[in-house]
Amino acid sequence: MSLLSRKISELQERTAKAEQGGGASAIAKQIAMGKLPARERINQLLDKGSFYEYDLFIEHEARGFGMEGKDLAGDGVVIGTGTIKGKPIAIYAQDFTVAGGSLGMMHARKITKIMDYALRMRIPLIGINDSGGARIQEGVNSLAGYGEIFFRNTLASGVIPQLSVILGPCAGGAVYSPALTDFVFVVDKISKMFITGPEVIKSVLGEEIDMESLGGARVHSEITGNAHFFANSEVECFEQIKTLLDYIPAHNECKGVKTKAAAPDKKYKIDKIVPEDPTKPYDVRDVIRAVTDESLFFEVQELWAANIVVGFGRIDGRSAGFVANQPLVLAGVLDCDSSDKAARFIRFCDAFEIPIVTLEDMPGYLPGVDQEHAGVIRHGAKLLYAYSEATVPKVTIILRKAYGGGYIAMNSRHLRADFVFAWPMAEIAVMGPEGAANIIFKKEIMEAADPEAMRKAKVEEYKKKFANPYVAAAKGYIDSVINPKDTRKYLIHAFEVSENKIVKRPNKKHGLPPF
Amino acid sequence: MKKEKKTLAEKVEYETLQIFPDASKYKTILTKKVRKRKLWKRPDLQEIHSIIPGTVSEIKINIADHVKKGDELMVYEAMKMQNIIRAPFDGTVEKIFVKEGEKLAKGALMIYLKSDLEFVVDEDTTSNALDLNG
Repeated sequence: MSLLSRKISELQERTAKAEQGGGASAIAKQIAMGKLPARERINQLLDKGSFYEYDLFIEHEARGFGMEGKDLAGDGVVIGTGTIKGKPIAIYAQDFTVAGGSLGMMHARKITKIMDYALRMRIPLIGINDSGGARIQEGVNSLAGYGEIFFRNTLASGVIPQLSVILGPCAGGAVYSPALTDFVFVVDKISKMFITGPEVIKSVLGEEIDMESLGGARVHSEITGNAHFFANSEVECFEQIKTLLDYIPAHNECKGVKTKAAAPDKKYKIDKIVPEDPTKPYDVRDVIRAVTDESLFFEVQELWAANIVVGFGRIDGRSAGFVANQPLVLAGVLDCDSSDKAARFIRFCDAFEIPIVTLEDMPGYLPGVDQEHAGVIRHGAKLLYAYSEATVPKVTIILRKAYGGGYIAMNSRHLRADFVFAWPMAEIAVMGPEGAANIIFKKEIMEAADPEAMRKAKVEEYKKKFANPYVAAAKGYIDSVINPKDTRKYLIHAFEVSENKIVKRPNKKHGLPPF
Repeated sequence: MKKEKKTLAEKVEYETLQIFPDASKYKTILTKKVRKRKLWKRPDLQEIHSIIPGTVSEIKINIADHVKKGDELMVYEAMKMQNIIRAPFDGTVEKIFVKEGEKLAKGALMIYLKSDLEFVVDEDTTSNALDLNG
């Protein structure tokens, strides 16, 4: 055997050993828990054979607490670059089979290394989280490791898309990394996210709760809004990741994403979706599908704040972000959670040059002491801020109701929407006819011989005069009243002409959205 | 998961939501959060509740004691700290609901302190902004 062949044999042996992670029995345990091993996850997510691993032979340098002589393959994390559907990405996947995937100094160093690469190369970063948390034996080094990761998440925020995939426990300090990234993917029964876990909560506060009910996938998809995509299996999750990457660019200076154009599915008849009765609901996603290429709509945070719908679709091949009030849930009102959900999505689209389509049909804000005390003022303001701040092409279509403050908040002309169109049945007014009549004509109604009849007459009068799009059209607050059937044509044209949009804003370090 | 509601919009049982007095009742689906919400009731400020789960360490007052604002009522151990619960106003201890050593949940009623002065409640529920008729 030549020297080279012997050296290559040695390399292969070392590689094979390191790639075993925590060993066969640890891998078996991982699979028994319904979880895939780290490298298997990367292989299933990335294009076949496209993964290049780095720092495979990293060794920890910890001393004391039994760490000497402990051989931790790759220090519990796999990092590298590869492609997904031909698009270059950077990825790390924590290896639960090695010391429970716990984060020590070198483990963190590998993660920060790949994060630095991703930022320098301007490619999306995907982090697969599956870890027991900080390696207590390494003390402050673990904390320092987390800190370095969080800082880089923030540094890269808005420059490259950052995706967090929670395929195991992600608790304590660790969970702040996903919270700082753009999209969090969770899988039922596998993802666990919380700051303080059940044991601590029980011993300090006496509250008894299991991990799944405290911070499982459903909790974060339906209650906390920390997660963006819910999957029933890891395989389904990987498909969601691949789909998302189809809609978003590699970095913030890509000028959006454009692919081959396609027509919507003819089964969505856009003029048959909104009921004539304005109190009757409909699923606004049908309207979205009536205008997007192939009627495809990739919804984000489907299960949380369902009274507003956000997600990605394509208009004539151009990737666009959709924000739409959902009359099917809570009559499409705006409230704390829906304002948060929309504002965050708008800012992602703006950061990555993805144009925004807003479909409006909302009767106002949800009243109640609980909303007020929860800070609907502060949360609602985030939506106004996000739309105003966004300089990507913005088109608003008012489908039906646009009352009061919500009219302003849903990307009105005043928040610098580029084009505002209204359907003929749109009602753009300071409030609905009944409410308005009661206030404006209070005196006439009170003093009438038959107050109820007078009230009905005044409501009709207000309806005729104001519950339509023409008052706003007369003032130039909307650009056109359009036939619903022409909606897609208007959108295609709007994005075509606004491709080179440039907006100059006053110089500032950054504004102060009401966090 | 709400997958069913996406495609069977017509077959769903709608509830109604009204967001303005004497105005449209919108047929729609309510969220769990909205369905479960408790309507606000004015709290009796003379009820002293625990604001965090913990243990009553030491009760420093007796029934019928008169206290001044800021006087120590009890020592309450929570989050590994000894917290001093103080009288929020001048008053007389009318009832004590807890014992020393007792573990409490959040919001547990601990003491009823009768205030020396009447609480003035602002009964004004009108919103002035939209009265356009002068």
